[in-house]
Amino acid sequence: MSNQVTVKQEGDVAEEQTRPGRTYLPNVEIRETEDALWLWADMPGVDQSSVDIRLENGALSIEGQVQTDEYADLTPAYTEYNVGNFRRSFRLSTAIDTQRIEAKMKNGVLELRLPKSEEARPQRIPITVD
Amino acid sequence: MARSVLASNLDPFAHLLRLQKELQRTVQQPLGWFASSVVGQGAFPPVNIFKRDDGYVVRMEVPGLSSEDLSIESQGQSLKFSSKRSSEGGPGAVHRNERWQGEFSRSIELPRELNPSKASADYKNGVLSVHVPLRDEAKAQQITVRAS
Repeated sequence: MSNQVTVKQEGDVAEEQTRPGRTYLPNVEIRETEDALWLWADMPGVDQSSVDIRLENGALSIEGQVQTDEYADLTPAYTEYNVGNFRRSFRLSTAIDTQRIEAKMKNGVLELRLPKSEEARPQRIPITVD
Repeated sequence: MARSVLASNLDPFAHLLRLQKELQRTVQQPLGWFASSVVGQGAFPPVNIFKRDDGYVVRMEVPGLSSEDLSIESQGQSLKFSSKRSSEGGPGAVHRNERWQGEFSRSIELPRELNPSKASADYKNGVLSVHVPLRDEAKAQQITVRAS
């Protein structure tokens, strides 16, 4: 058993969708280095072509559509979890160089590298001695 | 009640909604053998079990594993899944860490009509699907009637 068990969390309805249905919040890991923000998001059942990443006015949003055709010819017999699209957004406190964002999807995990813009990187300030 | 989730040509959203409803229904009312057996709500990782013409499919959402770290063993009527996942790690300050990490192991007991030793597994987009076929004797047989 994992020492950190996380249960799938349903998204809240603060911003309602026009389409009905359950949407889930992907669990994330976020790290910050000197030159970039890194984000990993668990989105099982989502393939590379069904991910949508947007960065607008300092808000990062990620969305993934699950592949429902994986359920063709299957009849549920016993269920412990439900499936749904993933959606989550974050307000970024750092300016990002939007031209150099890198994203990849591997085994249902989205990896995002958001490089900080030049101005947002830490600058060493020289001290002059009189 | 063998009703396929993908019976009609629904658009993807309608199809997903239908799938969600079917899954919700079997949370409350598991079918057949599963209705009378305690399988393990709340265990990790959660599983879904589907019926297919030629057997059952056990599915679990376990993103970010490498297939070398994924082990599936059959013993008698049970299948045991185990694997591990570590943090993406690397340098830098952690802002959030919600993703599960560590080792897990889970065994699932299956009905007698299935043959776990003939199971086959597939790992795609972080979803593990294990197909467990019916035993030969559990398959429908045509019985010939001889006229005397």
